[in-house]
Amino acid sequence: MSVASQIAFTDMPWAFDDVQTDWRASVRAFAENELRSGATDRSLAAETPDAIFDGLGKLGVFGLRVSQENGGAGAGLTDLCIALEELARVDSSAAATAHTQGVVCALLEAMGSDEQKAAVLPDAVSGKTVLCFAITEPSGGSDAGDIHTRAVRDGDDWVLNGAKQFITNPGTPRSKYALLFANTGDGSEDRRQVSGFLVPLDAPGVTVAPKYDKLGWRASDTHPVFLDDVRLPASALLGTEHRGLRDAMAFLVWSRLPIAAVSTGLAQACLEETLDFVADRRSFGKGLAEHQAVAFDIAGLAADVAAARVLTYDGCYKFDHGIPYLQEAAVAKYMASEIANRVAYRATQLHGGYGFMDDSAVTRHYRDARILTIGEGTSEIQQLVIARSVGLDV
Amino acid sequence: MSAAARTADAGSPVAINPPWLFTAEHLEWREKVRDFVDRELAPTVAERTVERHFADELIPRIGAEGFFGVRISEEYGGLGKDLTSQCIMLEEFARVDGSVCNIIEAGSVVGTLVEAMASDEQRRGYLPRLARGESIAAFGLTEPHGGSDAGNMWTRARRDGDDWLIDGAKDQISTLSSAVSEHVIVFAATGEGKAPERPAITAFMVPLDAPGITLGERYAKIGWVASDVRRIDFDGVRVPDSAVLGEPGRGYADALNLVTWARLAIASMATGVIQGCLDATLATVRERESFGRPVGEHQDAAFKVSRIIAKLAVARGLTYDGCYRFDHGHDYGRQASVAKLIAARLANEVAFDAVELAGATGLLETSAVARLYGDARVLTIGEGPEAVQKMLIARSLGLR
Repeated sequence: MSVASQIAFTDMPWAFDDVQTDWRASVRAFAENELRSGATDRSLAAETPDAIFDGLGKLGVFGLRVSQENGGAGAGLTDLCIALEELARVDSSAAATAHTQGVVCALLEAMGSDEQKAAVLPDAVSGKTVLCFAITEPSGGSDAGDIHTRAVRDGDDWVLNGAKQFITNPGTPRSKYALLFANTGDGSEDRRQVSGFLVPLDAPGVTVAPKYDKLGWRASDTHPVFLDDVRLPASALLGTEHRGLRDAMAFLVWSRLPIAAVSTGLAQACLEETLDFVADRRSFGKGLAEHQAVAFDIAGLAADVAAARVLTYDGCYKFDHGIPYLQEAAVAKYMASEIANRVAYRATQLHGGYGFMDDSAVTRHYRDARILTIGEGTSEIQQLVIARSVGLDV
Repeated sequence: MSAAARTADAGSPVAINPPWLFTAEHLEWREKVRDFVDRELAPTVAERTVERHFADELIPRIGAEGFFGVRISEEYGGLGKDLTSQCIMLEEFARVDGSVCNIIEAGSVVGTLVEAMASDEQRRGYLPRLARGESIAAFGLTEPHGGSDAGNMWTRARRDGDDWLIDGAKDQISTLSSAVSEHVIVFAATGEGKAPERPAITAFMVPLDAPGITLGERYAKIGWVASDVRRIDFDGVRVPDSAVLGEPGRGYADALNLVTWARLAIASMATGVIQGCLDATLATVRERESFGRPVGEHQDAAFKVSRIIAKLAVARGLTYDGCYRFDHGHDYGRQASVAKLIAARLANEVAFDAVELAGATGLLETSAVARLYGDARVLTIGEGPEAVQKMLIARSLGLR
C-alpha cells in the first residue's frame, strides 16, 4: 500500500453519510482495479476503450442524476461529485467521459418528452448508448447563446445546418444521439431563440469529423460535428421551442460542481503521487521530504486540496438541500480548477525530471488539469457570474 | 423543470452561515453578536483607531454580554457554547474592530484554558469574573527570544519553601494593562532539560501587582493599533503554590492542546477581515464612479470583487469545517492548520485588493479597509506563522 493511501484525506464528516462513504469506496475500487493500470497508456494513445462504458454504466455513474422511474439512482449531486472526484483521482479522461454522459442523461430527463426519455434513457444510463451535448460552436464557447447553427421549419420537419465544436463523446461506436442546440429565431427578437434537438448521429447530413488531438483528457472522445441539411421530424424537438438553451443553461448550473469535483480529485492525485515519490527519493544525504522547502511545499498542496474539497461539497450540500447555490457553484468551479492547475504544476516540479516524462502519472495530471479552468465556463465566466450574483452589472 | 427554480438566486448576498453546521442557535448567536458589534463598536472604531485609544470603557459592556465566557461552562458563569460559536463571535468582531477583537480573542481563549487546566477551587475563584469581563488574565507564553518554538522556555520558576520564584520575561503579550487586567498566566520552565528535549513547563496564575513585575511600554503596531500589547519582566516574582494552574510540569502539553483549536479562532478572524473588506468594497464600487459609470461595472473591478467573494468562501468553508470537526469530536489538527494557513494568507490578499479598489480613500486611517489591511497582517503570524502551520501539516502527512 502506498504511503499516501494510508492517510485519510477525503473525509468530510458534515458532507458524507455512511452510504456516501461506501459509495466512494466502491468508485475507488473500480478506479484502482479497472482504470489505473492502463490510464497513462490510454492517454498517450488517445484511446477511449469501449469497455469503459460498460464498467461505468454497471457502476451506476451515468444514472446518478436520473430518477429511479427512468432507470437511474435518483441520487444527490454529492454522490455524483464523489464519483467524479474518485475517477479523476485516477483517470481524468474517464471522469470526463462519465461527467458528460451523466450530465446529458440528467438533462435529457429534465427536458425530454416521455417518448424521447423512453427511447434513449435506459440504454444511456446503462452505457449501451452514448450521448453527447452540443452547444459550443467554432465562433466561440463562452457566449453560449450566440448560436449560428440554424434550425428551420420545413413542413412538419426541421432542417438543421451549422457546425459544433469541442463535442465530447460523439465518436465512439456506441455514440447515438446529440442533445444539440440550434438557433430557431429569425433575428428580429429581443431575446435569442435557441431550441434543443435530439439529433441521431446517424441521420443523413451529420458528420462527426476526426477527433481532436488534445493536450489533456486525451482518452476522452472529442470531435467537431457538422450539420448539412439534416432533416429531423417534429418529434426531435427537445423541450420548449425557442427556450431550449435557456432552460438547459438554467438546469445545468449545477454541472459546474462536478468540474470542481474533478479538479479536487486531480489535485488529490497530485498530492498522493508526490507523497509517494518523495518517500523513495534521496538528495544530499537525506530523504527528499526531509528538505524543509520540499516538505512545506507539499503541506501547501495538501492545504490547497482541502480548500478545493470544502468548496465543492459545500456547493453540493446546498444544491442537495434546496438552498441557493449559484454563487457557490461558480466559486467552487473557479477556485478548485485554478487550484488543480497550481497543484499539478508544483507536483511536477517536485517530481523533477519525472514530472516531464509522459509515462509519469503526474505528467498526465498536469496535462489533464489545463482544461479545468476552461470547460463548463472559463474562470473569466465564473468571475462574471460571481460579480453579477452580488448585483454588479458587468 | 422544477430543478431550474433552484438557480434563481441572482442578486443574493454572500452566504455567511454554512447550513451544514449552523443551528438555529448559531444563527441567533451571530445576530446577537453582529447587533452588538454594529451598535457598540462600529460607530467609534475609526476614532479609536486614529487615537490609538484602548477601549477600557467597552469592556464592561462586552463582559455583560458574556462574550469573554463564551466557552466557559455555565456552572462557572460562562455561556457554555461551542467552538463554532466562539469563531462566529470572533469573525463578527474582526469584521469591524480588530483591536477589540484582540481583547476578546485573548480573553475568551484564556477562559477556556483556565477551565481546562485549573483545579475546581481555582475555577470557582477565577472563572465567574473572567467570564463577565470583570477581570482579565493575559496569556504569557511568547518570550523575547522567539515565539514559534514555544517549548524553548527561558523563563524559569524555582521552589522557595512553599512558594515559587519566577524569573524571566514574556513579550508580545495582549491586554496586560486594561482597567481590569488582574493576572497573567505565565508559562515557566520548572525542570531541567533543553531543546530538543523539553524542560518540564508549568503554568502559573500570577497577579499583575506582584512585586518584581515590570510592564513595558505599550507597543505601537502596524495593525490592531488600539489594542494593548507589551512586554512583561519577572524579577524574583514570588507566588504561592496555589498559583500553579493544573499539574506542575504539564503546562506546555496543555497549552499545546490549547493552541491547536485557537488556530481556528484566528482563521475565523481572517474570515471576518475578508467579510469586512467585502462589505466595504461592495459599497465603494457601487457608489464611486469612473469613466462615466460605477467603478463596479468595470470588468477589472468586478472581477476583483469576485475573487474577494471566492476567497471569503474558502476562508469561511475551511474555518467552519474545522469547527465542525472539533465540536463533533473528529480529528481536526490538520484542518486547523490548513484553515489558519490559508485564511490568514487570503485575508492579506483581500485586504490589499480592497485598498486598491478604494483608491486614495483606502489609505486614510479612518477607512475600514485601511484598518483591516493593518489588522490582517498579524493573522499569518499569531498562533503560529505560516512556516509553523506548514511544518504541522507536513508532519500530519508523515513527513518530518
